[in-house]
Amino acid sequence: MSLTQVRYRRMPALPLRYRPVVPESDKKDHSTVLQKQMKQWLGPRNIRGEYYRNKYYYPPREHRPNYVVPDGKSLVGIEEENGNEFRTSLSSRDQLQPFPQNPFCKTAYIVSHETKDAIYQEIEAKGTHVQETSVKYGLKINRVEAIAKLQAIEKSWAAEGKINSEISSFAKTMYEMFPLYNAAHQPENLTEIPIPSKTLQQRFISIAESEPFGPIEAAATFELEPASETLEKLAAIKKGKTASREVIIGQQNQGERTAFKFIKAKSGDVGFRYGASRRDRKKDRAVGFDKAGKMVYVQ
Amino acid sequence: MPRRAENSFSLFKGRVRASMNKYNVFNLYKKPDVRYNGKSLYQQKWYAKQETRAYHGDHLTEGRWMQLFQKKADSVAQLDASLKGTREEPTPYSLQTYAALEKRLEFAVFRAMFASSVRQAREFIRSGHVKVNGTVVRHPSFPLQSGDLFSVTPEKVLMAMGRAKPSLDKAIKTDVAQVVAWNRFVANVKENPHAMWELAQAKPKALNSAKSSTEEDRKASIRSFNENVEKQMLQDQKAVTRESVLSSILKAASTETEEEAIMKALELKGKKYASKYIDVYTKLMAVGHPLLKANSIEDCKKYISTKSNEFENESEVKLAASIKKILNELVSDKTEQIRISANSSKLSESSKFIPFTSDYGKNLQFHQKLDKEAIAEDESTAKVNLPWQKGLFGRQDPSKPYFTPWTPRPFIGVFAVLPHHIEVSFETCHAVYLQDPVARPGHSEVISPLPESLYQRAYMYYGRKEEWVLEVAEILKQHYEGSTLTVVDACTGTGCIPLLLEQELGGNTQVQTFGFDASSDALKVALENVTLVGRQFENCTTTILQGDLLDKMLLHSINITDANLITANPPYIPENDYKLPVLLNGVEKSARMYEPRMALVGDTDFYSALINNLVRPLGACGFVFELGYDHQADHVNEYLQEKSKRIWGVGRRYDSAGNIRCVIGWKVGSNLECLSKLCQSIYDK
Repeated sequence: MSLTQVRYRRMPALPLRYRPVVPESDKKDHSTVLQKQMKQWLGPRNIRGEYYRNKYYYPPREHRPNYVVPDGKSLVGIEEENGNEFRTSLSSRDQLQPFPQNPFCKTAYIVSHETKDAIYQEIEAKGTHVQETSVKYGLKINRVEAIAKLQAIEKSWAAEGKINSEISSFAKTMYEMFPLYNAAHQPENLTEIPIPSKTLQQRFISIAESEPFGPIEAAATFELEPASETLEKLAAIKKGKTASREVIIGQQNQGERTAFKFIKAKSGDVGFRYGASRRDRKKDRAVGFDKAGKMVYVQ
Repeated sequence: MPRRAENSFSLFKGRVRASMNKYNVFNLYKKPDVRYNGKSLYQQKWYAKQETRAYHGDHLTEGRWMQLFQKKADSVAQLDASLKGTREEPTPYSLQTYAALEKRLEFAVFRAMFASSVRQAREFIRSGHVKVNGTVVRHPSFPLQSGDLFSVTPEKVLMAMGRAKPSLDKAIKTDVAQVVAWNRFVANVKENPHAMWELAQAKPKALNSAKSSTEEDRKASIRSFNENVEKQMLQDQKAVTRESVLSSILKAASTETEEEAIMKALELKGKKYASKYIDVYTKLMAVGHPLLKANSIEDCKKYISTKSNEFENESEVKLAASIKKILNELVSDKTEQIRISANSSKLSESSKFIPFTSDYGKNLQFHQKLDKEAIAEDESTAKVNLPWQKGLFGRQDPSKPYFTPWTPRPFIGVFAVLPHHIEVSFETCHAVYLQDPVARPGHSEVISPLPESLYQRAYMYYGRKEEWVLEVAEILKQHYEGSTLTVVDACTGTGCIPLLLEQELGGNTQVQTFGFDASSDALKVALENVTLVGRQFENCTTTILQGDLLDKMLLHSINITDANLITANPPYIPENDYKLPVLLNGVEKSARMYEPRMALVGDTDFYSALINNLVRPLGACGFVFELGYDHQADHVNEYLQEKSKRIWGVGRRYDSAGNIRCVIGWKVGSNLECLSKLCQSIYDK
């Protein structure tokens, strides 16, 4: 027996206060109330099929984003007579917040072409250490590396004439849509570290009332190094590490077809342990990808 | 296979999807605030799951997503803030619920704005238009790692982010209408330029702002206006010569009477000039000069260019010299006057609008009518040359799959959010995946239009598994050193705890699990589960038995001799709370309706029985009991310490919602001491 139960009345997804008055249309128009409301929200179309009066139709320019503010006034030049305003208390709302209901989501700042070029020049031509550049421009290390990498591609594309007018007009539109990064005003926080897993749990210790308890003591309780030390380590310039593994190459005598090479490894880290169950015949096998981008089973 | 997209953009359902669709924009705009009143906790979780899943991977089946879900939320600590000791904003951990999806290639391509929806990104990947580190990857689920470089064919990106290319019919229709409208406009301007100019001024500034509202454009138009004024000024100054001034004086005098001419000169030029005008006129009048009759510019020029030695007598030379002197003064005055008036009519940089000039619309030209049939036959015959458009509407280059010249897609700005975890180069359609998105105080890198409260409930929905069982299994996997492990689960119900432990621990150690329950109905369900699981895992050794925990002869009836670990999820809801509503910390209606009362109502007596009838007689080294109240944990601790001091360590564990969930015990020095790592607080011995 199958029964479909509806426990509560289904209501259309509309805010309670948003009830635009839709003008009556002729009898031939069979569109629903919501469709009519959307039509009203979109506004009139011009000959070119653009909703030219809608605030959100054209892309924002001059690095000033124009994200949705549900104030009931979607059209330019037409003051709503219906009193549709259903959210006006947005004074504190940040311009960077794209979605009205999620204040934790923010758009990133776009780095200007000049800054990108300067970063590229410093790293490629002058050979400055990434960490120094990162501090200079207030950008995280991986972002600086990415910018240098992408600039190199851009330069080679420009040299090859691959960037045609269509792509550059696309790139210009996108570039102008996002707020511009300014190292003086919005530097990225370079002291961010992944939350140490040890601090995810509460610890209770009893201490004397007179005993001082600060960040250093707290770090000791969690068996972590103090934050000031971590900061110092972050600031120190790291030299690139090269992983070294002990390798013994066997002697290849005349007539032997195989040259043996022994790489030092710890059992358990490589290969399979005899007798350990493996998941190679299971339905949900772990999946990975090889260097050619092909999917392979890992286990 | 992806899930089918059925009625994704329903205005009635009003779900917000990961797409730049026009309907989606309206759905986002009219999204009502979430209301939870009147919904039970489960209804809230279900609703939250529906809403959030609609945005995060609606193309994934629920089963696939459940496998991808990770309980751990990636977050960062800001060391400078903690050192400064300033108050930090809360970190939205719950927004990380769907962070596991963001590392998939399809999501990264969409977040980098190379595709207009996740489904479109999938299509690009499937058809080989996406490369990762220079290699074509055809798997939308490809997990990106920190530092990976990915790219999409620019042609595809332009298609995705550009306006849709119109069909030929549509383009012809549009252009015919545009030409008619343009010709009407030109006719109106020619007929009544000032009215049309005023009409253009009355247009709201923000309107039709695809091109013309930037500061630079305004400055450029002011500059060109000023240049025009300057040009006009030079032209006017050039026209002012001695002969033209002389001729204008004489002409004015010949047409009117003397007084009238003087009055006019006074009105026009002011007193200073009037006296000079009259001076010139009277001097010529006195000698009855022939110029008074023949006053054309040529005659005047001839008179002025006559050299002093060419005149007949001395008096004429004198007269000519004095007249030339006055004329020179007049010319320099007049050019100066022209310069001043031109400068005053010039616009300043900050001026808001450009005044009407008489040459408004002078250069506008009518457009030739289009031959529909010929264009439909052969597109290349279309000759469209409107000020804003060259070539057929949207089909300047018909070989391209997008609107040409490239025009951004409608409503592009609404869903365009520059990601923090990807660095994008739009010029080359390349991007670098920096890291998996994290949460930090006051900010989450996972892009989402939905409120945090929904994510909290969705997290509760997906994190609903007996979470402590998984954690126990994880700890045992890492730290348990014995070769065999026997687990007894009391009040097993459906047998999920022993089965889950068996499944998680199987492989590394020899695991033997038992479960028993007093209810025969529960046993039936448990046995059914064991057979089902046994089909999937060949060596499933879980044994289900019948026995009552409160029975003192329990071990005889279930016939188990020894065990290492005791687990239990006994009934722990006190009688009073059972009847209270949810809001007052009572039991949910759904639980009351569908769960047997026997499995819910109980209190500290069950924990005493667990210790007396199981833990001690079996000589177990550790136990994990689920509970709901702090006093039950206190009871377990006191009960153990009373009889066997300093042998047992006892701690408490809380769940992700912050409620107490488990009491955990271990024998000090035994191989199950690792259980202490699960505890968030440990009782003093």
